[in-house]
Amino acid sequence: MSRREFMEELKKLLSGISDEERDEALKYYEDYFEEAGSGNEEQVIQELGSPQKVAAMIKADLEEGSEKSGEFTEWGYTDERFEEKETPATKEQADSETEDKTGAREESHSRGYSYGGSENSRGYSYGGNETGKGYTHKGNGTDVSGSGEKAPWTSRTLKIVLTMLIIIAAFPGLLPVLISILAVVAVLILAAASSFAVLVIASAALALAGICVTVIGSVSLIADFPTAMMTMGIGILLFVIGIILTAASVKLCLVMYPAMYRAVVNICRRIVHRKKRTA
Amino acid sequence: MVFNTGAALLDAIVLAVVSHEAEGTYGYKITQDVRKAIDVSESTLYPVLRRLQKEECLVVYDRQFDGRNRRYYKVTEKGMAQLNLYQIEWKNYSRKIQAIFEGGVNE
Repeated sequence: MSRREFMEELKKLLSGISDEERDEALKYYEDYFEEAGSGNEEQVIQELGSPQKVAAMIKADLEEGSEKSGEFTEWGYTDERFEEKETPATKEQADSETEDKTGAREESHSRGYSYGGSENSRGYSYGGNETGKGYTHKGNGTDVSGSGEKAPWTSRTLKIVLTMLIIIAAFPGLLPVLISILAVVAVLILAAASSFAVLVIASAALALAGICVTVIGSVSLIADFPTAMMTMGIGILLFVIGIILTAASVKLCLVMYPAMYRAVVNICRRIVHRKKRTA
Repeated sequence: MVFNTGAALLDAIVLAVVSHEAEGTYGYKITQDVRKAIDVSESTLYPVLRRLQKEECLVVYDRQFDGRNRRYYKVTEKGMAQLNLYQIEWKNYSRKIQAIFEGGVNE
């Protein structure tokens, strides 16, 4: 990746923030490259890490204000917000450390721990929250010496599935209940979907019946003229009504199905997003 | 170093580095100077500088250098006051730690 590509990418990634903030940040990094000298581009890019990381840090600081920033360890900047997950080893370590501290910092522990200056008012309490974390190495992607490597890949979906499996394993009675709830929901959706299709079919059938009646009427035209005329009239009438209803119900379907689809997608998205936020 | 640098300490270090230059100094140099003391990733400094600027501890101005505008950072009065506070706190803190390390807990 060249300097230009890096800056282009950064610019793109910062499109969500205000123009002023973006220009400031871009100016800073343009300057930075300039000062480092054109011969050191590659090294600078390597030390800065990916544009994604740079952008994430700029944005995180803007969103969260001065609180909740991360820690700077010898392994570089450590911030939970940029970590995908904790390694099991770290968690164990955290547990034992908290016990050592006789629960003095239960709060920070329960928050998943390692927000260095998050609990204090970003001021002067050096002793306060930062003890006991000296050795918390986490394999985050901010290693200074690193060549922009990323944290180990994890899948949120996988986590959700695993969590569900654990829940199911823990409460066997839950599975049938869950299945029946899912089944009811599926049936309701199918019923709603098919009701409109049924309207179309019924209307088309009516039109078809109209044609049949008309034909029957025309067959008896010679034998019994007045009855035949009436039968044919009714047939044509039925046919016209059927056609109109068909057109109307097709139109209805065209409106309703996309709407229903959107509604279902929306609901699903909302559920997933809420999980993301709370995760 | 095995010890972490919290946000406050990083602020203090940045303020101290900038305050050493009466005329102010620029982003790249600040990063290099800070990295002499602590090993932070290069991308951590910009948010810190920006925040200190918003808190009016730093001001920026542009000056011509090599045919382009270089952005300089300078510590404000408020920034100096903040830095003083940090330095006092740091002295107290490090003295206490030192005392513990050397065996005398009671002061």
